[in-house]
Amino acid sequence: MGRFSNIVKGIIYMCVYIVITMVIPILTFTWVREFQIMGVNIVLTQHDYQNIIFWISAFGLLISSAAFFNYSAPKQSIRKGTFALVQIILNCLYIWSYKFSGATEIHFEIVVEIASTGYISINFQNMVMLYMGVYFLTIILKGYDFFDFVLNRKTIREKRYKTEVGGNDLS
Amino acid sequence: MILQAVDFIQVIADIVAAVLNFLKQFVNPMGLFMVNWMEYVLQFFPQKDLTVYIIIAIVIVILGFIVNITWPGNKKPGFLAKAEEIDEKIEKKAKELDKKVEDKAKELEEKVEEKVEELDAKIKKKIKKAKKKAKAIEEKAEEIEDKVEELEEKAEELEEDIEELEEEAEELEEKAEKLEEDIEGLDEEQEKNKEKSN
Repeated sequence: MGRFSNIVKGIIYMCVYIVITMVIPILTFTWVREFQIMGVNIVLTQHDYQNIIFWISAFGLLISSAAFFNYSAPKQSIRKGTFALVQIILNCLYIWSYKFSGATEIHFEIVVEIASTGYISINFQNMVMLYMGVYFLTIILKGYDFFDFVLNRKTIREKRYKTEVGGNDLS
Repeated sequence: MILQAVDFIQVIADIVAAVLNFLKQFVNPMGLFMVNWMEYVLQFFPQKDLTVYIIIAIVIVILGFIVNITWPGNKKPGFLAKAEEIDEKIEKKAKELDKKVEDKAKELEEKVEEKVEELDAKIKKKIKKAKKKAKAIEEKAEEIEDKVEELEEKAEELEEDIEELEEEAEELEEKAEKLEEDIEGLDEEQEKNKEKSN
């Protein structure tokens, strides 16, 4: 692939990651902030809304830029391996940011005509912990990929350029 | 309606909890390890200033652009380029050798063809000579045959003549014998006549 196609591929993936890690979560949290079910207002009593948006934006930006670098790099290259690993680690931090920003413990307050009549609390902490375990395995996999790309660099490049050392058989 | 929705959420939560409880023993230690290092790392992240993240993201994207423009990954590395140079040299040499071999083969073919043509011409000449000789021999043979035939005819004729002559000779002999006998008879008669005359 040429430099132009690499960059285009990187930009496409960066856009996808911007949508997945930033646009959708921000829109979701903005929508969840105040919505109604059957005429009853369910207000998100999340005081750290700004905090959630901050961490989503911060890690979303880092993940999207890392995705650009990762997906614009040639296949099985060391820089692809490096940035794939970086991207996974940033993903972990991003997921974890939901926890420490308070987004995993969402507290809804049910409000009927100004007066609060009750609340719903959803706790995603255990789910995040499970997700972290899965991410741990992914990091190991990406780390293996990285070392594979570093150690087998010569073989990978030979395969990529399909060069047979010792000359081509003309017969 | 809200209560029904809450019940539904409760059922989902129970299912998720069951799954989580099952996986907890395997995945939680890993998750705890992850949490520990992440909490340590996140201390160093700026917690209020988004501009730092924006700058880092822009720097990474610009770096990505520069790296991709400089090293797009379609240029062969040095060791492979060298190998290719060697390959090209080998190919060139092989082609040169092939050409030389072809030229030599052509020269040899031409020489062989010339030799073949010469030999053909010689053989044709020899064949012509041989044919001429054969014709001459055939003609002589025919002549000889004719002569033989003539001679045979003559011989036959001679034989016939001889036979005739022999017959004639026999006849003459017989006649001579008769004449002798006649002579003898005449002699006897003469003697008789002499005796008688005496």
